[in-house]
Amino acid sequence: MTEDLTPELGAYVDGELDASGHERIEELMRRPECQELAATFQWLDQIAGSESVPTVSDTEWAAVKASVLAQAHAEPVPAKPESEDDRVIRPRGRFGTPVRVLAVAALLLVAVAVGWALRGGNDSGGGNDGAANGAIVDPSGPNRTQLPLAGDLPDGDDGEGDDGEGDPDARSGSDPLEGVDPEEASYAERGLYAPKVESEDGDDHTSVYYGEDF
Amino acid sequence: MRDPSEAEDKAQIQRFLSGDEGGYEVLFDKYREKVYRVAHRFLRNKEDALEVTQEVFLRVFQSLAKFKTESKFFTWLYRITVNRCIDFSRSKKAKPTTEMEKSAIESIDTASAGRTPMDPVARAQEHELEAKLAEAVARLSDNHRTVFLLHAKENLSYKEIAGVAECSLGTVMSRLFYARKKLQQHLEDLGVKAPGSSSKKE
Repeated sequence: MTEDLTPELGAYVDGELDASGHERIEELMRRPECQELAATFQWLDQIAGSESVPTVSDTEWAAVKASVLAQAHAEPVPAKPESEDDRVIRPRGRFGTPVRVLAVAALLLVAVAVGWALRGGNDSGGGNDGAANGAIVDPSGPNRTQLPLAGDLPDGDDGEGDDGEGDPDARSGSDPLEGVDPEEASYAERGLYAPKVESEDGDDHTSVYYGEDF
Repeated sequence: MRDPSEAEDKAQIQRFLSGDEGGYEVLFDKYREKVYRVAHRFLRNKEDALEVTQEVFLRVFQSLAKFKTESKFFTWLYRITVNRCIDFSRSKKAKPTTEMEKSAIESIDTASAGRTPMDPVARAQEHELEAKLAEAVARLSDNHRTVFLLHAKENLSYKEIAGVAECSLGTVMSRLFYARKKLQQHLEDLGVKAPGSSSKKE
């Protein structure tokens, strides 16, 4: 019945239709089903509009304002955006993932090199320690340098995470390694844990900007 | 809903940005009810609506420096509010029905306060109808719910809704049309027929 009714009918009912659309809709409005639909729209608006909301006392408002101001002063730097209203699309760290891979690879290389060096030291200075007698050195022995393994690194980005870009419905996720600094590699080479990197404003670079007005 | 005091809003924003927090407080006092009302339309619960209101004003405090003064402050504020409501309702599903019912009863009582005394039966029917409409609205998608609530409950024009929802006028028109069609269907599913609607289903 209403396949030929267009959204313009609703705009007509609401008085929002421009003059150019009036003629066609007024033609349609002669049909009983269109009149019925228009009446239904008006009825829906009427019952929706008649509902009121519970009142908030002045005391409650004062408490809300005090709470807002207290939080605002406690957090002078804008908090991490959590919703669409102020998400900002920022470029993901272009080199983040490769650097992380390199860091892990470097760690492994350092571990192997240190292992070999220690084994060589044991072999050359072994004397009567058994290694010189052809005994196999246990790599898990007490001389093995304890280096962080790849699994010990902070949880990383799999590179496939939902960054929310291009999807206004996306909700921001937390990716602690996003935007990781290339210096991480040097940390890794030194056998140190790379610090969690955040930008100055605390943004984790996974946010999506939604409001143009910001 | 035209806001004739747009220039005043901008003056208060400038006042706040120049270091006088009084500007912010003026904006808070002016818009707190509107923000709360929109939040309550979405969340149907006073505590949740107040929580979102608080979050919205905190966000405003923190973001006013980024507000583009060529935009309307209230459009920007409504946008933040709607987005916070959607986030809130997604992260924390609606409170138990008892809360909603309590809230609805409060609504009716509040609404009735300024009117002539209503027949208890009529009042109960109105209460039931509003509750069913709220249930039907809750079944709409975020986009449809947003345009319907902003239009039917907040009396925003299509242009204003387009500003809040960041879409074209045509999109608002289309979303509102289909939101109403779906509401009609949802209400029929809940046993409510619009007065004058034909008994046979299309």
